[in-house]
Amino acid sequence: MIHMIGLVLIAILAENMVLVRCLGMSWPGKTVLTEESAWRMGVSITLVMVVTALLSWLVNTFVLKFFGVEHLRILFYVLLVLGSVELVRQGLRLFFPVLHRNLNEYLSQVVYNCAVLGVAFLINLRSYSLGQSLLYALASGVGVLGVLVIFTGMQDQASFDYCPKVFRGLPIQLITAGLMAMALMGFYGLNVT
Amino acid sequence: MLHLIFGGVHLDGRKEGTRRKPLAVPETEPERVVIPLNMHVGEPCEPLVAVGDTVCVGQPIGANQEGMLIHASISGQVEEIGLRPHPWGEQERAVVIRNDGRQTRWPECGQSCDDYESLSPEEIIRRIRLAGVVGMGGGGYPTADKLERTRGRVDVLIINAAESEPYVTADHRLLLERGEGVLVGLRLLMKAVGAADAVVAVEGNKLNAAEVLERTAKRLNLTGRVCAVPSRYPLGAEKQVIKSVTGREVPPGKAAVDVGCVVFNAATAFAVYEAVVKGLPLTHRVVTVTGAAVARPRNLWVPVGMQMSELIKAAGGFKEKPELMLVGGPMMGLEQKDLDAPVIKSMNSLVCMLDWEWDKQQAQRECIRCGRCVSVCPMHLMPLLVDKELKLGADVRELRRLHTQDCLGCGCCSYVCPSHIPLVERMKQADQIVERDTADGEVRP
Amino acid sequence: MSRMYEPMGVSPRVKDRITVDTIMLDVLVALTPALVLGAFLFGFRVLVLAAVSVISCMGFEWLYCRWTKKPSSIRDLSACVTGLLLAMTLPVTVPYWAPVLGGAFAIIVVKQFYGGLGKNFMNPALAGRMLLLSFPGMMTTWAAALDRQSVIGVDAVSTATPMAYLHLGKMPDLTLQQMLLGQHGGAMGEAASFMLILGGVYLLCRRVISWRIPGAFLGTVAVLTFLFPQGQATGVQWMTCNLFSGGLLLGAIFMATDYATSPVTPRGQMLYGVGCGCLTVVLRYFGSYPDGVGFAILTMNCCVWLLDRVGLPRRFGIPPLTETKLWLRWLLGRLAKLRPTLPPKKERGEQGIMPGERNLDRIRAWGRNAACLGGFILAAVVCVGLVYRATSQTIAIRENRERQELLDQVMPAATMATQTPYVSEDALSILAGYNAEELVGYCVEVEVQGFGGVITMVVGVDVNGEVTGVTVTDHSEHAVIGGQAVEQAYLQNYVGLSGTVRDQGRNSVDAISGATDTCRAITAGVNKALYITARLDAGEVDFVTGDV
Repeated sequence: MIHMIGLVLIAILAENMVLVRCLGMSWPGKTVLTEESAWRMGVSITLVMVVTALLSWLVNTFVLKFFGVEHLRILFYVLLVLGSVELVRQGLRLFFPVLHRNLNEYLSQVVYNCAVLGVAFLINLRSYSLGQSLLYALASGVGVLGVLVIFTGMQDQASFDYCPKVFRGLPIQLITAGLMAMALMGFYGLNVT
Repeated sequence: MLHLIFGGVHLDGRKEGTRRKPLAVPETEPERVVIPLNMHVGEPCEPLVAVGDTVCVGQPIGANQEGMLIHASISGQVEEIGLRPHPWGEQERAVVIRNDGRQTRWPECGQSCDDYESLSPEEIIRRIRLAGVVGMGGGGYPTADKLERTRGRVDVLIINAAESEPYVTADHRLLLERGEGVLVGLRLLMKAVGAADAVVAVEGNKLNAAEVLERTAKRLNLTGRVCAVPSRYPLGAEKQVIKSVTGREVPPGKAAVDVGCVVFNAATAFAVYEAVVKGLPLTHRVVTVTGAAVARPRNLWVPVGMQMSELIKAAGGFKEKPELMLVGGPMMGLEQKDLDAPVIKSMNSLVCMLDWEWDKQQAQRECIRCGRCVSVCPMHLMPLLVDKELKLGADVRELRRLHTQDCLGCGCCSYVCPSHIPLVERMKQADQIVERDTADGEVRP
Repeated sequence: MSRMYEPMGVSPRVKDRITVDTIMLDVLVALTPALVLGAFLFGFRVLVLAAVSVISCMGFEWLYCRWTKKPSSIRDLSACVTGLLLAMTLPVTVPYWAPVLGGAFAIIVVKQFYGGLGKNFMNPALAGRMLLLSFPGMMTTWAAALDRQSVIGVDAVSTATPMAYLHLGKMPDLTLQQMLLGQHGGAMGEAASFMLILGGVYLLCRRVISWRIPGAFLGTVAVLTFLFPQGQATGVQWMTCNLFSGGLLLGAIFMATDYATSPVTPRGQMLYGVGCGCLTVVLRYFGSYPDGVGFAILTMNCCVWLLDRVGLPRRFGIPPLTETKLWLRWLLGRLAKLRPTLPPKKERGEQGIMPGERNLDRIRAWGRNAACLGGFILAAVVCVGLVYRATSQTIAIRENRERQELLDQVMPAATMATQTPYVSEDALSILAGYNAEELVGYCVEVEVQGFGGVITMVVGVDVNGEVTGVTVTDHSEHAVIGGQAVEQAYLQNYVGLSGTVRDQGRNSVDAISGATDTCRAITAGVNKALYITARLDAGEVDFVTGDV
């Protein structure tokens, strides 16, 4: 039980996909990230991450190891990400039309989000069991969701318009993300036993 | 049993100047009185007398359709009926009576009644209406109407003698010296409104008054218990007094009667006593004249309509020319520029301040998000967010979410702001924006 | 309609005497006793460092205002406070350029880029300190108490602070009085706990800070450390030790209560204190850095807007929990909309179209794209497969060579190694090294938790139970912090040891200063390997049959 909690804490804080591993930063840049779009992006990434984790674990155990073709891992995982995005999209369309309507455009963006691919690789690298993989993927997704929501919410409190003109726009956003990453620096090497 | 109140500030009371001075009648009678026809909430009165008429003390000189009456406070000849300066600013129609010094009483005054316990509630209300009693704590609402409106709907009657504004000691001295009258007034109001319980709320720094009241109540076997509320400003506001004494909070947009309470000022209770038991109409009241500019700060028992210049004379004149003159206290008082304005029924003090007694508005600085305004607001509002919204462009939806219509205007937020931001003005500005938006008909939740 | 007497909406004519300048001055006054005691403990250098920090912060703020043509804001003394707070979190042994760098970052980037006083979202002093942590050697050299440093040079005997003990789960060897009066190592301003408490009381009396944040913060840490003591300590002992050591008091009283970076609503402030407390305890128990107060506060700083929203005061007159119930109802309403619906039934065959032909149409429509994709995939598979085939032998040869090199490093006496069928839950693999049919020893591959993550190492133990060599194959240690500790030059020290390797005394290896955690981890790994091989000989390790 404590291992599970530890895994969740590590996935959200110590190895946060966006702030620590610097994956998944498909930064909007010119578009303003609103809170609603942050929530939707985060939820889409989480859904796709969990499905990808499941599929990649299955593929890893029953296809790659079985046939000994582990050198084709990258290819399989990329196709898997595409496949799981489609799977999630069709699943939502059939069973949760409201969600499908809200998340459709964000799912397209998730396709080229490297955080999802990162999760697949990490699970393989650390040889997690199925339960651990799913939990890790879910927690990573929650971590990404948290970072996106906190970042957009912070724009309420700290306006990004007061900096010198050269820093306005993307630079100050990156500086803010960097400061948030520095705050998480203390969690590196978190080890819950 | 006291209930906790959130917010409020501890102010420097500055009541030492007049706290121990007993009520006094001015040594010299005023030359004339200027009685405005509009000292109350409702339609202004129409004069019942004409220029040149001789009037007596207690004679009705103004009335309106709603049953409100105004009486002459001195005897003499009506000099003029016309526009005169009013404490609320601007000019209002007033009856000017020249004093003939004789103080003749009007013979048809109401009869006194010693056995007030036998009076019916309707009779009590009738007598109060005939005496022209209004809310004397500043509101000016006709007391008879208030009683009619709240009859049978309240279970707790509260006499508000908290007086949390600095400088003002009028109600305090009234309690100390005319405590019996206040308690009898309380009893009469209780009967009139049908309340089961009655409380006199005094501030913690007036414990001698509380003691005197309790002893008087016991001695004369009168009802009414005394409750000492914390001496924080603005715990004298109606909603805060109700919360402190009964623990009930008045919902937004509703009145005290909706939580089963009704609040009257201590001076109003005394006026009720005079009206019902002594049969006297409301012609005199207590006014505290104080401030460092005044030579002899004191509490005066003055006729309604006495001009402020006469008040100053009765208080020994100006030691130095004051920088600021206020009716009320320094927190919510009205600035007076014209000393010809008269004392009205709901005015309880005149404070004349020198430059070291008050703080001018200093240069505003940026908000530092200290959060002191949030921690002192008695209505649980967030003034710093209102200020921020106004700076960002006054989005009405956001302002609506901040509930600016709950603001009492007490000024605690401006008082504590370290950046000298005039938060009261901001709240008022936001309130106006929201009201204008509501008035346009598009009321969004 | 007659005119009514209404509150005019005019500000009061009297004002509280408190202004931004008096607030900052009060904070400076509250920090002075701790600074003075720090100077008494660590030497005059403390005061010089503090002065350098304050002057550089004020200088940078003035320069920034000049550069951006804004009116100079140094008169509100907030840069002074930032400088002093930054200095107080540093050890006395830092060089003089450290507070200057930290101050520049704190003032220019963290504070001014977001709009100056009141508009930054992160605590500038703490952020400056965290920047300086990227020079870890400099920031972790603590001087002992009363070992007064000179202004010019620094010659400190590096001591362990109480936090170092707590991090290992042990109680430091100090009495309560010693902890309060600061007779131990630590940062310049953190050692003097009693003075910090005095300063806090002063600020509370002057109503500069509210009791909520420090109360909630310290209360949460107290409760959590009382309920979960580590090591042999009792709850109370462990709790008092935690409360008075490290940067907790400085953080809770002075850093967490910074106006701009903490919530303004009372309930938000309580939640903020509780959150900081929880994160501090998590970091102190499970994190790599000994003291996590700074990071906990910085992490909560990012969430302040959320706490303000959650902690909005109840509207006067509305019963408590009404807003919460409304929000819950809204949330449940939104979630109810997410009820799964069954997919619509497929229509029965339309006129003139065979069942299944719809699908064929679909396949035909996608056919070309699918065929294209399929072609690419096939080509990619073939390419990758060919490359794999072509290079697999080279890779196998290289792997073999690497394994041989590893063996040489770890067990020089052996010429070849094979997998043993032994399996132990602590070891990744156990190889046996042979030298021409004779068993030389075992190479055990173990994993340990280092400072920055997991360290994988191979330890060679010969049949006499002595270490023949140690190699680190994988680590995520910081290049500077743990870098030296994973080099062969250091790992050589382990050769010849047996039994249980300790941290000090007999049968020990001296840790590299500044990399104590990593060295300790490697020692633990070596001990693990020794233990496993010992059990192997005694037959207590699992034996796996069949293919391994």
